[in-house]
This record gives sequence, structure tokens and C-alpha cells, in this order.
Amino acid sequence: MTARHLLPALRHAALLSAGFVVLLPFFWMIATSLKPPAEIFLSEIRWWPETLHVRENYAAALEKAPLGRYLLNGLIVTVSIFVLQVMVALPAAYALAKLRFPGRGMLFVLVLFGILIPPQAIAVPLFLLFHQLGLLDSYAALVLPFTISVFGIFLMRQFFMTVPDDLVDAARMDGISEFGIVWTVMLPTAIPAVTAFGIFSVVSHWNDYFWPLIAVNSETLFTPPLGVAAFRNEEAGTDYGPLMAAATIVIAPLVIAFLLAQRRFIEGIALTGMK
Amino acid sequence: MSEAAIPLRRAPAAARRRPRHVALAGLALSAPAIALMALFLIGPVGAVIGMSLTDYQLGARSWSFIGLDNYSALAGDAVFWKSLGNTLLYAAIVVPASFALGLGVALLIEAGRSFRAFYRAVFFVPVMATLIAMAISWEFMLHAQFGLINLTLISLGFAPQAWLANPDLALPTLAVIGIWQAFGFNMVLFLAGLVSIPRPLYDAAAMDGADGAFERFRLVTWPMLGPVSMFVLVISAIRSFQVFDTVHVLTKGGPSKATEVLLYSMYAEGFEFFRSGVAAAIATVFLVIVLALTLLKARAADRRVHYS
Amino acid sequence: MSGISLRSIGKRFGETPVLRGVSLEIRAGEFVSLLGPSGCGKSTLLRIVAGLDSQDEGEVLIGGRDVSEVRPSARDLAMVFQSYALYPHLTVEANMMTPLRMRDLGAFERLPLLGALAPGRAAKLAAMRARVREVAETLRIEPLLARKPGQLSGGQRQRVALGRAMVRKPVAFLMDEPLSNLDAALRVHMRTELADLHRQIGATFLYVTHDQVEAMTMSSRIAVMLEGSIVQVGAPAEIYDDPRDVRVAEFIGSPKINLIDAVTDGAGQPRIDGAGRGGQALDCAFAARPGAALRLGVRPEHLRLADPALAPLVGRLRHREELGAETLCHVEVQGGAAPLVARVSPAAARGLRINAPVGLVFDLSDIRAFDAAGLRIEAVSSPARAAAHV
Repeated sequence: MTARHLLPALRHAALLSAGFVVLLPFFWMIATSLKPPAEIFLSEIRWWPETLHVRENYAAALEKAPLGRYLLNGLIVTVSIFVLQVMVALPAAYALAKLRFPGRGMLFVLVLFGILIPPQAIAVPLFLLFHQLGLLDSYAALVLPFTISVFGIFLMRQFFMTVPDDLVDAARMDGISEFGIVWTVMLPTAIPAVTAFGIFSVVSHWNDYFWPLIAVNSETLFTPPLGVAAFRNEEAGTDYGPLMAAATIVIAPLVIAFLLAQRRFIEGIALTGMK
Repeated sequence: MSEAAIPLRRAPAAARRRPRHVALAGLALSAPAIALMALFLIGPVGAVIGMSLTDYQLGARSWSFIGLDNYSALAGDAVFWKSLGNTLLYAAIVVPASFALGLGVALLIEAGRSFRAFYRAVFFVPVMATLIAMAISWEFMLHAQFGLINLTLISLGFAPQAWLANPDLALPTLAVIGIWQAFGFNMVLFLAGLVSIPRPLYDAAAMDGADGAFERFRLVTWPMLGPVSMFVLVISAIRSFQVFDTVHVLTKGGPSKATEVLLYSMYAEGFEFFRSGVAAAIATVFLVIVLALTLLKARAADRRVHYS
Repeated sequence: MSGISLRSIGKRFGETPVLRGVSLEIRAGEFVSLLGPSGCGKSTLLRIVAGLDSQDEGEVLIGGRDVSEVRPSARDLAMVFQSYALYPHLTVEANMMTPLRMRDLGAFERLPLLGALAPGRAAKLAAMRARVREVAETLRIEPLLARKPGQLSGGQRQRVALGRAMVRKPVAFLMDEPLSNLDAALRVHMRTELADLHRQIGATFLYVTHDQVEAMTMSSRIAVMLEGSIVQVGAPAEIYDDPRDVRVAEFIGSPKINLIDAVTDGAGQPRIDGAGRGGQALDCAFAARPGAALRLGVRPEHLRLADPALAPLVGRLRHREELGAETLCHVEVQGGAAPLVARVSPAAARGLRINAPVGLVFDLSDIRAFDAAGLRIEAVSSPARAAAHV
């Protein structure tokens, strides 16, 4: 074998072994979710169950915890957050990019500053605010703090800066109002950027643990991460089959969506790099 | 029309005097964002700093302004120093490791043509998979008796370890999970940086006699990745300082405060003991660290940009 | 269709004045070009006419009505933008329909889904579609109606942008460098088409360009703008032959007009410093006091090569550009700053070697004289008797 063949082979060998290690927790989680207890508590490595315990584990998981409800909550919360973020951020981004109004420079500085603030740092006053408003332990508590996405404003503003002024002027000549321009001209041209932002927003809020942990108490409001953590606390290391089944169910929606549209996902989440 | 070349002349459209209704539209369109920012972002930042100067406790009838007492209490609190030290140690492990792994994998992927998208996807899965669920999977893999990792060690002739229960191992173990979760993200940033390096630079390097892989890396790749590297370092550091999920689910700061980290201390003070003032002081320290890191990046970025 | 009057329009961006009291009368049906270099304020003026910018002083009248406070869409103008500004997410047909929808449909009728319930909406839409089709036919773009702008070539986008402007039969068309994004061949072609279109629909056109060829070939009149002011307004030939300002003379014409420094003697006759035949005065006179510095403008096509011994201007041939139908000879004159350029027939330049001594002659009637401030000075006595050789 010559060096010409050796190098690609080495590349694949290195990447495949690293990939194996990276995927191991996923594989082990799924494999465990398929095993009967006897094969889980074993003093040797068993890569794949000899007897499949799929129905039992997944049924037990669904029975012990309202996983469907958690997933639904996740969906409700992430979609509400995203829709509200767009409704708030798009007009502001358009105003910042294309309109001249008093206080515009100040607003942009605040947006840039806002991007730097880690959400955990302001959890205490936010918690007290929602406590005062009597909104703790509700969907509102899960959704409202994230309706303002300064990062979304920044991102969309950067995108709108690249839209030619002529297009906005043409729309004005055509008689479209400033409000109409946001939704009928800017939004359609910004679909790729909005999609990327949407993926970023949904993934980060689906996975968020810190704020839901603080904001809600009732099991009926648990988001998927809260739900699976609560499940694990109840099981406390006794019943790994159903626990891994629950973890698999919680992870499945995003991972499947990712596998279907990985390029868009990577673009979308890499956006956080700007954050 | 590119009239910008001549200084008099055409200001960008937005900078021009417009009819009044445009200014009104600008204000109206940004009003919801301004109100929500004041309520949920800028206001709370002020509030957190203000609260850190009080002895406020959730549910208490009264509170008073106590100046910097919360901070001096923190300064005299061994647990706080432990927590800060643990956070720094965690970052000191995760940042270089996830930087090196991210860069290494990106270089390997970029070195060939085949299966690029496949590898990229494989290493990216941990970034977007729900960390809480994956932490539970890791916990089982780290199980002292039946975990995959100890079983592997035993079959190779090593002694099993109590990964999360041993004070010496717990934090490094969490750091490994942190690296596992983070380096795919760095890889994506490095891949983007690698793609943007102009091909002719490599051709020029080859003409100059730098044709070995290492020489090319030293002469072209590494310097051209300068801004991306800086970026990855700071982003990784900020994210490491935010470590919380794995701590809360797997160790609760233990054993014997071995995994007590900044955000966990803040969470415990604020939402378990309801000492809001103390929690706000920790949050302020956290905020200052994160902002300092960002400033550091901004200053470094001024100096190290190699793009034109 | 109506005329547009601009009355002392002033505009500043911050401290910088961009328009300094610009006045211009555009008659109904006229094709007027605003011609000037980058940054002269011509685009700002157009945007003020459109209502996209507001002036600081002065007023804009359209059809005799002051529209200074009227929104852009209510001025009944159409604009063609340099970048065409087509909505990228809409088909060509939908792009062309947009101004009609906004004008002819009420707010309720424009609502998605619900709007369909409005009575009479279908009939209105059908009328709009018919109008779009009619315009598309004029512009020969019917096959493109279902496409998106991204699928069109530059020339096709240009036509669609024109079509969008035409559908609502505006009182005037405003065009902001509409041809500058096209390649050279297409630009020449579209010049003819635009001129044709103007003749065909007879509407008022206000056309902004920095390209003198566009302005010369299409316009009824050209307004030359420099540094925020209109320096001269006139028919293309008038602007070329009779520039009132040295900057106009220099801006129009390629290669540029030759400018020769001279000083008037007691009789108002210009004497060219240090050039040919010992600085003898030219046999013509201008309304300038004795000793005044003059700049004599002579277009390249009015310079001819001649025997150095007999010519008023003598120099050496520095460079020769053979363009096929003609040859440009660059002649460095003793004492002259820039080389003079003569546009001559290839036969006349044949056999001349680089660095060879060359004489240049011109008709006195072809001289345009400017004073030190750049303003035109008239000849006092008719130079009709002047011969080819001075």
C-alpha cells in the first residue's frame, strides 16, 4: 500500500474511532432501553440484548411518566417562543436596518449589550418578577422571558442590511406601509435567516433546563428535560430500561429532525457562535 | 450607484432625513422590542446588581440595603472560593480539550473529500441532543458496578472507579461530558474557518517550498484561523462557565462540594435557600466574568485579525 | 401625464449641502436626463421628486400641485431602480401586480384568505391581470410572467422593472441609472428600446445617469448637475456645442475637450503662451479685459494635423490610438500641461512617428472660451472671416 492510499485510510480510521466514542452514549442508551433488567445488571459487556425488552421498557416509561405531555409541552413552549420572538424581533430589526428614528443608535447599543448577558445571570430578578405577577408555574412563565431575543434582532438586522434600499423604496412607491413592508417584503426575503434562527431558537429552548427548573413546579407543565430529570430522580438507579427508554424518547424528536436536515441544523446552531 | 467614493455625498439611505412618518414608524415598530427588553433584560440586569447590595430573602417582610456585605461574605466563604475554583478548573479542562479536539477533527474532515457531511453530522449530534437526557445515559455508563466504562476497564485489567462519587474524579468526569458535548460545535466553527482560507495561499506556500502537511499548517492554516481560534476560545470559556445541567442532575455539587460550580451555588442560594441577595451577588460575579471574557475577545480581535 | 416643476430645492445631509437651490421645469411628455458625476446630487434630487426623501427647502410640483407633503405612492409616479428592486419571492406577474393591488384593492381585499370573500375582488383582479398582460406584451416578457426574478437574466429583470413601473400608467417615470447593471452590448440595445418606449407611450421621463452617452442618445433635454447645482439645461446638441461652463464642456464629450491656456491682449485677442509661431495672437476677440487669463476649449474632432511651421500649436506626438474609423493623436505641446488630443482620420495620421514634431490647427469658430472662474465668454466679433490657418 502506497502513501497515497495510506493517508485516506488513516483519516477514516481516526475519524471512525473518534466517531464511535462520540456516538457511544447514544448507542448505549438505546441498547439499554431494549434490554431486560437481567441483561442490564450484568458484570460483562453485552453490546446488544439477547432478548429484546422493547415493549416492556417503553410501555413502562410511558406509563410511569406522562412523556407525551412533556413532549407536547416542549412543542407548545418552543413554538410559542419562536413565533413571539419573530413577531417582536422582525419589526425592530427592520426599523434598525432601514428606518431613521430618534434613539436608534441607543437601541442598537442595548441590543449588542443584551447579547452578552447570559440568561442565568438574571434568573433571580426574573423569578421575583414572575412571582410578583403571580405567573410562576404557568406556560407564561416558560415563554414570556424569551419573547425578546436580542440575538434574533441583531441577526435579522444584519440580514436586512444586505437587502437593497431600492427594494424598500420600490415597496413604498408601490404604496405598501412600513408595517406592511416588514411582513410582505422583508419576511419573505429573509426566510433562510428566519429558518436558521428558528432552528437555533427551538433547539436551545427545547434543551433548556435552567429556567424551566426555576419557573415551574407542576408536572403537567414539565418540559422534556425537566420531565426526564424528574423520572430519573424517582427511579434513582433501579430501573434503567424504562429510564433509558424515556431518555431516548426525549432525544428522538430533535435528533431525527437533525438527521433529516443536518445542513440547516448545523447552520442554525452554529449561529450561536455569534452569541 | 457607488457614490460613496466622494466624501460629500450620498449618506446611506437610513442616515438620510426622511419624512416624519418614517421616524414614527421606526419608533412604533421597535416599541414592543424596547418594552420587552426593558422588562426582561436590561431591567433585570440593573435589578440583579441592586439586589446584590441588599439582604433580601424571598418571602421576607422587610429587607435593607447592606452595601457590599454580600460580597465580603462571599469573599470569606470557603464554599464560594471552592465553587469559583471548581468553575475555573472545569473551564481549564474543557476549553483546551474541546478546542484541540474540535480543531483536530475539523482538520481531519477537511483533509479528504469523502464522507465529509457524514463525519460532520456524527460529531455534531451531541451538540444538539438534550444534555439532560444524555447526562442520564452517561450516568449509567459511569455506573460503578454495571457501567460500560468500568466493565471495559476491568476487562482490560484496570481497577474500576467510582467516577461520580470520588471527590477527585467527579469534576474531571463532568468535564469529559462537557468536552464530549462541546467539541462538535467548535469543529463546525473551525470547518467554516478552514473553508474561508483562500486556496491560492496554499499554492503560494507550496511554491515557497512549504509543501509538507505540518509546514502548510504552520505557515497558512494556523495563522489564517487566528480570528476563529480566538472566537472558539472565548465561546468555549463562556459556555464552560455556564456549566449547570450535568451538575444539577448528576452530583448536586457533591461529593463534598467537589463539583460545586458558580451557577450551581447561585441556584442553590436563590432557589433552594431563597437568599436572593446572596444569589444576586454570585450572579453579578458571574456576569462580570462573562462580560470580561467578551471584552477580552473584542480587544484581542482587534489585534489578531489576519483577513484584509 | 403632467409636467414636474422643481423650485429652488435645497437639501443637506448634516452639515453638507447636497442640493443648492435646484430649479427645473420638466414639460409633460419630455424625456429629461439629470446628468452628472457620482455624488453630484442627481439621485437625491430624483428621490425628492419621488417623495422617498424630503427636501429641506423649495417645493416639488407635479401637474401644478405641490406634492411636498404627499407620500411617495400617492404622487402617482413610477420609479425604475438601478438594482431593479424586484421582490425576490414573487413571480414576475405578482411583482407587476403589486402596485395595482396596493392602489386598487382595499385593505380588506388584500388580506390573505379572507380577502377572497370581498365582493368584486375577482373582477378587479381580472382587470389587473389583463393590464399586466398588456404591458408584458408591449415589453415582450409574457413568457416570463410565471418566473421568479432569480431565474431571469439582467436584461429580463430590467424589462420587468420597467413593466412594474408601466402597469399603473403613472404621470411620470423616474429612472435611477436603470441601465448601469447591464453589460455593454445590452446597454446599447436598451437605450434604443427606452427611447422607443418613450415615443410610444409619450409619458414624462426623468432619467438619472452619469453616462453622457445615455443622456445624449435618449433625452429631449439634459440637465447637467455638478456639486449640487444644475449648471446647464438644454438639448443634447446644445449642451455639447454650446457649454456655458468649463465643467460642462469637460464633462461632456469623450475624449475630453482640449483646454488651452491663453491671455488676452489689448484688443481682447487671445495669445497662447509659448506655443507655435512665437505666441502670436489669434485673429479673434472675446469679451474679456486685457491681460485676463482665458481657457480656450477645442474639441478633439476640431483639431487637425498640420505642418509645424505654419500651425499656432506645435508639439510632439506622444501617443497614437488607432480606433479603426479614426485615430486619436496625443500631442504634447511646449508649455501645455496635458497633452492635446486630436481626433483625425487614419489617413491623416499615417506615417507619423512617435516623438515626431506635429502642428495643430483649428477653426476659430470652434473655439469656446472660458474665464478664470470657468464661465463662458462670448466672442465679440464674428469670426466668420477666420480661415483654417491662422
